[in-house]
Amino acid sequence: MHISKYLPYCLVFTAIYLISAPAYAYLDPGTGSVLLQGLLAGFAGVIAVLKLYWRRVKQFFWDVKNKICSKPMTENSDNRPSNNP
Amino acid sequence: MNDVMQNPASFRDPRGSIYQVDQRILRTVMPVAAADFDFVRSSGLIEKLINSGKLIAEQQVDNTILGEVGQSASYVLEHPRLALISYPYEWTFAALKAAALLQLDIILEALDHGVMLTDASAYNIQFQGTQPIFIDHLAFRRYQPGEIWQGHRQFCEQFLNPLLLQAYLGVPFNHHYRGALEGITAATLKKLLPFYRKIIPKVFLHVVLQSSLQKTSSSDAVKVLPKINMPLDGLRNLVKGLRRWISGLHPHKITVSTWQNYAQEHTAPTQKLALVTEFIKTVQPNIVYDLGCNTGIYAKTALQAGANNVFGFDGDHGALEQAFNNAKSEQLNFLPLVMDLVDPSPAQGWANLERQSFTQRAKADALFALALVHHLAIGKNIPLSQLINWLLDIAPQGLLEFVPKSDPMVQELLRLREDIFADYTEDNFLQCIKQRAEIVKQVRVVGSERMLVWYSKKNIKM
Repeated sequence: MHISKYLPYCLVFTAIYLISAPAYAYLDPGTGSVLLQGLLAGFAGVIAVLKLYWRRVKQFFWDVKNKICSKPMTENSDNRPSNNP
Repeated sequence: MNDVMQNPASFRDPRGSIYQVDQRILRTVMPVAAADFDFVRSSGLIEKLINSGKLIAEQQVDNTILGEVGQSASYVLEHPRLALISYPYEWTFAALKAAALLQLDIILEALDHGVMLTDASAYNIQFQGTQPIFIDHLAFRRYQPGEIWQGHRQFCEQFLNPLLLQAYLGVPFNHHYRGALEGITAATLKKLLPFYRKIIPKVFLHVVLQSSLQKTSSSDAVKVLPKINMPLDGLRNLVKGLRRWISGLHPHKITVSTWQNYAQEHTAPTQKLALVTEFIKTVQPNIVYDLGCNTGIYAKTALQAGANNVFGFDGDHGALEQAFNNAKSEQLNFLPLVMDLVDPSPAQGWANLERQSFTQRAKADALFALALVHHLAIGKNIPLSQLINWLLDIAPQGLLEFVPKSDPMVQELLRLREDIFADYTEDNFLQCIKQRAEIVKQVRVVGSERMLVWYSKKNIKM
């Protein structure tokens, strides 16, 4: 019970990690909605970062694959001058 | 200059207000909103939304039309006048759902243009037939990177929670909504939902968790708020998630209500349909009210005969749901609304002026009250003379049906109760009408003792 009571707060405070964004209008968004979106923003932030890293991971493998695929050609082109002194 | 009247519902937003001059609907855009207004217009969003029928049209007019009020405004806009302003507590489930989806679609489209909405009020949406249309041009402002959805709580209270009440618990939201104009709070819904519903992740997030977090002091939330940086994708996903969820919601256990099958089981007498057609063709009304509209058979007949807008009013949720869905699939300019005619929507909200009563808003060119009078007079003890007066106040012309005590439907109403309705006679019915209107036509329904009366107040000087 106690864990479930404090879990949302822990999540909210661990989820909030980045710089600010002001601009608020005349409508009170409500504390529940603000904190809930803090959580979601946290998750969304984590997902955005993961996506970013996933892209880098994909890029890494893509580069490796490209290197491997293009290696014979470069080898040939590299080797040619060395084979023909 | 003509009288400039500020709309009593238009006071919350200092960025502009709605005024009425004669029959024209005008909106001020105050200097505080001018920069946002210019930005939103230049984004192309407004034009796109108007062209797709999602946003009410606007035209910039000369500020002088509003006199002194106009002088202090940056811009004055004119909007087309709607045939009837309806409120979410008068909508069917399908209507509130359509309005919710429109609200979410507009947010998604706005974000694509670097624009966000200041709120998510259901009162910003109106209906043309069964098509929802957004009416608040000042709800748009420039999107600030990282911002949260300010209107999320309001959206939940005014759209999501009322829909969930009906979808998950089978309780029509209308009475609760009318009793709480700002909508149904997460805390209220949380108390009502059974455990197995609460553990659905979406329900847990938007209802249970939001409600629990709402108990946090606002000073804590204030500390957190500036630190939240909602990625644009996160914001979009929040809106899209709600959109997917709401698209799949339906009224709980679609049980057949009392009157839903009435229209299928009882074919409308051709005589009645013919009189409706003749009446509409002769009177050529713009706005028609069908009181006790059921699934909207006569509304459809009226539209086919040339009426421009028909609004139906009934208390039977099942019949109304079907009426809305029929009208939507047949693209009829017909909006069926939830209304208990012996307890019509009152004037309420701030200063009792914010939301007008049904009687204040009711401006019809013609009305039908077919197979209705006996339900109110005998079913609800409304004295016949009062009832006729009330009906005649709504529209200058109309068709009324009298169903005598000998009719099986009235017999059914009287089966379990004493007949205390000495005034309920055909003579008295006709007499009550004649006191205020002329009877243009009087038709006995073949094969019954029912009487159809076409009244007109046009030539009667009061």
